[in-house]
Amino acid sequence: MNRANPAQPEPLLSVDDLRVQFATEDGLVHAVDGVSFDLRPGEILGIVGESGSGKSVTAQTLMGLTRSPNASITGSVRFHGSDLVTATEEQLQSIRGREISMIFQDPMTSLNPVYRVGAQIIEQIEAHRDIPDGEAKERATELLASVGIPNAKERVDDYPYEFSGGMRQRAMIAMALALEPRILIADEPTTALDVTIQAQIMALIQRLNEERGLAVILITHDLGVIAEVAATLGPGAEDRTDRQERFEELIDRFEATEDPIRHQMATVMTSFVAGLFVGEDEWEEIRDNLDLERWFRLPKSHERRIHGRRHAGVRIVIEGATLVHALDAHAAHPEPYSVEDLLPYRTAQEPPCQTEALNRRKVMRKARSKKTRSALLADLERRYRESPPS
Amino acid sequence: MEGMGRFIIRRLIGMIAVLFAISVLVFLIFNVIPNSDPALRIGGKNANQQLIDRINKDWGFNDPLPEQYVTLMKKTFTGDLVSYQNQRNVIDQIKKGIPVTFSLCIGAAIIWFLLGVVFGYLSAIKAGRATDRALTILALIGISLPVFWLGEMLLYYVANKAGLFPVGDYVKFTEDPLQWVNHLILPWFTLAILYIGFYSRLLRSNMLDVMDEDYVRTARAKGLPERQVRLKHVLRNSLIPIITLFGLDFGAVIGGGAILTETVYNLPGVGLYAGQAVASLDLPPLIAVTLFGAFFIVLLNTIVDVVYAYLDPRIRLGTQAA
Repeated sequence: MNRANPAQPEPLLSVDDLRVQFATEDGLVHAVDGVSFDLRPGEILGIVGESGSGKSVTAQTLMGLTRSPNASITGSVRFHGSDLVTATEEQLQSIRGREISMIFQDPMTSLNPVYRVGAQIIEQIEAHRDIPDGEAKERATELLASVGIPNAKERVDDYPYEFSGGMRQRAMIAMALALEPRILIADEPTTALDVTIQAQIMALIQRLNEERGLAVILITHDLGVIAEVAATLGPGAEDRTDRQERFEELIDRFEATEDPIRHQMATVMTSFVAGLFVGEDEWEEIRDNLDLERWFRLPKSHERRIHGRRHAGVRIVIEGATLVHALDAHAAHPEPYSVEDLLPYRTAQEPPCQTEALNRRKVMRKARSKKTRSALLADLERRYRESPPS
Repeated sequence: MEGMGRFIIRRLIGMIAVLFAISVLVFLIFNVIPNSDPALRIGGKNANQQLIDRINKDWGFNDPLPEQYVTLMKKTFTGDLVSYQNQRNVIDQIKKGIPVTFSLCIGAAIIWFLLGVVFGYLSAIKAGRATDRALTILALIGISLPVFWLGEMLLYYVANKAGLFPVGDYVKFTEDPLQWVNHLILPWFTLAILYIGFYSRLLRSNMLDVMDEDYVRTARAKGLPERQVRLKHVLRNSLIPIITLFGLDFGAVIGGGAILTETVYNLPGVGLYAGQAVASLDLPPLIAVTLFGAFFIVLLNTIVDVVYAYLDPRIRLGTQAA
């Protein structure tokens, strides 16, 4: 952690013009279209966007998990002097889980149901380190305890189905942290959990960020999640009244826009990011030059950052254009920013297009086997089950 | 393992119920189908009416059906059951056939399970590529080949013309293990080939489904080598339904499913015996063979459930219906 020189530490991970395309039966799908961002040590980077905008594909591409004969990946992901886009599978394997870890949206399905929770953590440890089973198990128990699993000594031998959803996500986090990675990619880590558990998981991620200087890429469609992170990390220098006014003004401006999706997202995001946490000068600049197109397709050079004494912050990236801001974590303001201000704009449920996006993704993944998985075979198998031959 | 004990007891009760129901059914059906009069069989071709009447009286064929059923069952379990057709002891005949049938079925089952898994695995990891296509075609051919045809072809070309294997017949394992294998190789493959086709197709589609599971992505994200991901996470989880099917198929094959193979290769097993009993409408062997088959199907079913609970920890035996 380079906190002595907070001005501009070297990026840990540097993504430049990342593009991912999938060949499907319906033609080429541009899942990720020119994303660029830097992740610095100890930073929480928020990637926010509509469902289907390519957030998860971006995250998985960072670790090479989207590689397939049907995928074309260009651009670069620089990590420790190597480019993860062109790295060999072996290189990626040594980075996955050890340098960069990932947790996923649905903890209910992210753990293998037939292995004990502890065994799955041990598996991760032993994939990268040559240590005896007993030691690995002790480490797994410690990890579970450290993410707040009560009775970790006994629970380590439980199967995933014996864990609740929140506990499973904790276990996933424990697993992700097993080898003390530098980067944690959290892909919608709370979407599948209920609200109280969501807050606990986010608090845990933030604690790890603060205590261990873990850099986090936080992916979500839910502005509320980002809002909570931002709220705890610290408010801008403005007082409440000002924020409220700005908020309302921005909403008015964006409500006048035509495009419905842009309208919805724009309202929440820009008001939140731009309006609430900037200094007076910048606010005026923003207000005077507010232009929707520019906000959404902000070229990289326009990226704004405010760096405080400590480099921890939230930036928000949307559909490839890096939109804006690091928050000063230790700003002078004594009163934490209230999340409630944003709650009316919180996306309570995933927008309907999410399901469609999910389906599309599934179809894409299945495409490779579609031809051989013919109707003929399905028919054969059904007949076989109905009357086994003798 | 209190749940296990209760489960086994419940399964035992279930088994008795199944065997009872099957024996009653076979018995009743036998009594209503035409041309099944046992006295005619015992009396032989030249029997006159007096002889028939005497047989009917001596053997108790005039008794009410429930009484006849009880007598028959008693004989079955005391081992005194005798064929109507040739007066041979049925239980002895079945005992003689068991080693043959077991040799055939166990060998074939091992072959079909192993090859099915290997081919299915290869097919799945090479999905869409040449290996997969070739295996798909082979599997479909295997599924489409009728046992009697395949058996005859192998006998004619491989055994008879090429002289690679002996033509039919059975040699006891205790007499000459090498000859035992030599005599059984063709029957094993004949019986197994259909199942290899099905199992490889089934495993392939299971594996492709499991590959899309989130926990497989998790396994990759952990940095596990691809081989380990495939074997430990994909294959392990895909095998669960295959094991179920295997248990059922194995039970079915032992319990009479190998009739055709035994007939083609002239293997004196339980299946061949069952076939003869059916052809001559001989009740005692029919009942005994049916009970034998049902017993193994239920037994294998129970074993499958126990194994299943071991393979998939989410399943608990105690809560499952018998």
